[in-house]
Amino acid sequence: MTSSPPRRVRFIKVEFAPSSGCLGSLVAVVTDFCRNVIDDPDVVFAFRMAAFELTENIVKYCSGDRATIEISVDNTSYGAELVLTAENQADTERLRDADERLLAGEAAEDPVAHFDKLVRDTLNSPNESRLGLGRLRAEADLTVSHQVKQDTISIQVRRRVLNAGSGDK
Amino acid sequence: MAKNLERVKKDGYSIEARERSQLLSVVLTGTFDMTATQDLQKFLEEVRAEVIATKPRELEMDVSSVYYLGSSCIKAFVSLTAALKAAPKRPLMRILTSSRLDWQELTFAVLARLAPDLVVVERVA
Repeated sequence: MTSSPPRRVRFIKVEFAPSSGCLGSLVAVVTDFCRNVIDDPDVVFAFRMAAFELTENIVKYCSGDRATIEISVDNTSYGAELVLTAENQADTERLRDADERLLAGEAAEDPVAHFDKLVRDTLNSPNESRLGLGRLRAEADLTVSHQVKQDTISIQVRRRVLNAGSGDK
Repeated sequence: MAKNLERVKKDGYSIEARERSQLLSVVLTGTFDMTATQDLQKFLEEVRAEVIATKPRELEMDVSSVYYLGSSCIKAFVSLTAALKAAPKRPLMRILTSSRLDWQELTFAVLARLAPDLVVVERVA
């Protein structure tokens, strides 16, 4: 009998009911996927951080009873990219606020200077840190983008990776 | 153990303080995600009060065994830094990071940028 070729795992998508109790499990799924496709501890840690921050945002701000998180390897014209996508529903005011903050972060020419401004601003915001999305560019060198459609926000973080494996280690 | 700082030990993280001549030392271990925020915030508020009351020369924060620090927990450190920066007699705040965990230096560097005269970030083995 001939063995079939190994299957290439290219994404994992998880739908979940937002709760802080599922945080560790979701981060573990993302981290394990990254470890399987890339042998670079810095990249793995960057996506671990992103998984924590995006999932924590969902737990804090999701207005629906379901949300999704997806980690994938995308082949682009200039090579492979790891992409983490978080999608959830939120209230109109929260969506507007997130949209404004994300647009400002994405447009910032110097991610570290932008993050330092967020750090100074957080001192005037007693109940929220508002630092999570900013640190993904400043500390983890991830590209952040987002889309708002009706009552749903989708945030993507990505990083180009070299020698992305098949996920069959 | 520092007199007014009670050790925190939870599933996943712990925080402990020790006081010896002119040095207040705080050791954090584990993963500080959003579930640790309240404990960390409360502990660091007590550290601030202890520093203001006892006026140590140095506040040492050993984070070398921290495996993750979420943004809500970063805010707790930012608040402590800002409070000490405004204190009349401020200690040197020395943050000890692991030489094996590069992210720690990047994360805590923000405190040194916020208060360069107050905060030093050092790598330990």
